[in-house]
Amino acid sequence: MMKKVIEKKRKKAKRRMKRKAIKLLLNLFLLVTGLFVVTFTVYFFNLDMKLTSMIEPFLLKHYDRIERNQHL
Amino acid sequence: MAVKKFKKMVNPEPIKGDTRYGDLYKPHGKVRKRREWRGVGDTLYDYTRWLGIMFTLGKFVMVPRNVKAMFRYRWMANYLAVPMMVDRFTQGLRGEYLRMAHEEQDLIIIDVAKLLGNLFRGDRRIGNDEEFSKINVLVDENEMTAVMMGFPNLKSTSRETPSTYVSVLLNQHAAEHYIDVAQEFGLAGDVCPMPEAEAGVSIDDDAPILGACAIQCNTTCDGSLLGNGVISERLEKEDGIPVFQLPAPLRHKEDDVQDYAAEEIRRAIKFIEEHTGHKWDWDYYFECARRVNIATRCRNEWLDMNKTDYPQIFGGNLALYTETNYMAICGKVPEFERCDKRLMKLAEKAYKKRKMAAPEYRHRAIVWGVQSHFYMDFLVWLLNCWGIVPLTDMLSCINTEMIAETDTPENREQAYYDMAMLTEEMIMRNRTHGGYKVLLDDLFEFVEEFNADMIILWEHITCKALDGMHGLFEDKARERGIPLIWVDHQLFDPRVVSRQGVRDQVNQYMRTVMQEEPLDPTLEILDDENSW
Repeated sequence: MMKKVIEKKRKKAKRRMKRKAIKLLLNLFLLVTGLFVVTFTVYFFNLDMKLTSMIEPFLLKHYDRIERNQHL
Repeated sequence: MAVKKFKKMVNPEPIKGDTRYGDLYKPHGKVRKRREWRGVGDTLYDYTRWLGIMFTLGKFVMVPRNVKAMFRYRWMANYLAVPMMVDRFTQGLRGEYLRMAHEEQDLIIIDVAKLLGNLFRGDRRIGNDEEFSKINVLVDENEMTAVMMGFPNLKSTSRETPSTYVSVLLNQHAAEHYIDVAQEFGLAGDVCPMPEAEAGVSIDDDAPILGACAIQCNTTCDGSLLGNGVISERLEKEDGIPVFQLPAPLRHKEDDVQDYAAEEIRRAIKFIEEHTGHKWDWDYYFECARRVNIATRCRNEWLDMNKTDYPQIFGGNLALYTETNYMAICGKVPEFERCDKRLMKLAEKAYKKRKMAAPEYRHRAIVWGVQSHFYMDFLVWLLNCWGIVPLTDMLSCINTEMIAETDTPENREQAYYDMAMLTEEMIMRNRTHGGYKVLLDDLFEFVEEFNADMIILWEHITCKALDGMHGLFEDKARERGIPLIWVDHQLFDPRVVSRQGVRDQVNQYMRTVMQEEPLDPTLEILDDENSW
């Protein structure tokens, strides 16, 4: 009797572990897929370059304001 | 004489994905509408390499002093365009050609990121790591670094490479500010804009300050000497960094100058030893020499492959990598040896499969003269727009000889001559100096060897070394029936001749003289004046 109860509990725990593992894998899969979709969209539509091209004018203005010891 | 004509070759394999590359350009835009679709496999490959580049850039900006430098040095803004440079050089490439381009370019990006990291670590304004600064020897951008092959614990650090050379590859307008600064201070406007921009960086107080000493070389021309004079004045008198002038002989093919050249190498090494306290290490020298030979062997084999109907490493894939590997690396970085071998494998694989990089090969061209730096990807354009295969370029036609690589008393003496030879045969100067044989006769020998039916001749309009030969080139080409296309440009300054101005010269020749239609008409006229 005791053995059966222990066996049942073990099976239950195993099932729970399996469910957890599947959930973890599913989350991992969703995360990787999500990351892929986001980064691939950035890559394909050139969003990284579109963003940096907007930053450049601000940087150039900043460089113009720096005091420099210009001489030959 | 009848005009030489190459039999057109059609690629039996269709090019997957986009084939109208001009459609990706945004009118007046700085960047393109989207990246290229290269079919599923190649697009995913390109995407993973893009992720790798993003990782390299991310690692770089994680270091606070690098961010500080980004806000201090104007030329650092050009590094925002790193991924776009790779996109430009990989336009239209598929399969092995795309992989070759990434093998090279991604490694160059890592190497430049390391160089920038070192510069800012030692820079008195940024990292100010004094101990680290003492193990840096400053070298010119356009300088052979052979004299550093025996110093394993020193770094040969070029300030000009990231501030001007790489910057212009990234952004065509990168040097304009510095050229203007140099001219505002009275420097002549009719010299080569490369050394002028380098001098401009120094005048504009925009060069990192570090190093135990510096080695400058009489690289190629009057402009280079002018630039070095301005830079060394500031280095020695203001920054307290002693400078050695390494005057390599210009008539480098003459036997009677070689003893003098070797003696100058000995003096340069002694100077470095005196100012750094480090001693020359022969074991390290021969290790580097072995790697230099591997690079030379690989390059020779690639060029041999390009003499056949199925060239593999050519155009942008050959030019940019050769410049980096030959001069700046010069056997000192083991990663480049591994890259050489990987490239060789890819090239052999593609050659066995008789692969072609474009839908059609219509002409086999030798590209001669000093190419426009603001439009290095012109070589890719030639292939995609007109089906002209740039088999090799002048700057890739460098040393083909092996140097001594085993440590013996005789070879230790020979090593000075080998280093002198490598220095004399630096990229560009080995052709622009040394007499008409190396500049004029060799070109037509290459035309024969490579079975070329066309010459693309860059005319860098302020390069006096080349301009004097204009008529002689034309006469020889006419004699041999080789169509020769002159392409004017001003190296670092697209305000004089724009990228479209460069393209127009080829377009007009191809339409009027050759009576041909472009392979990809969308590339004929591009609105890319504002582009990086």
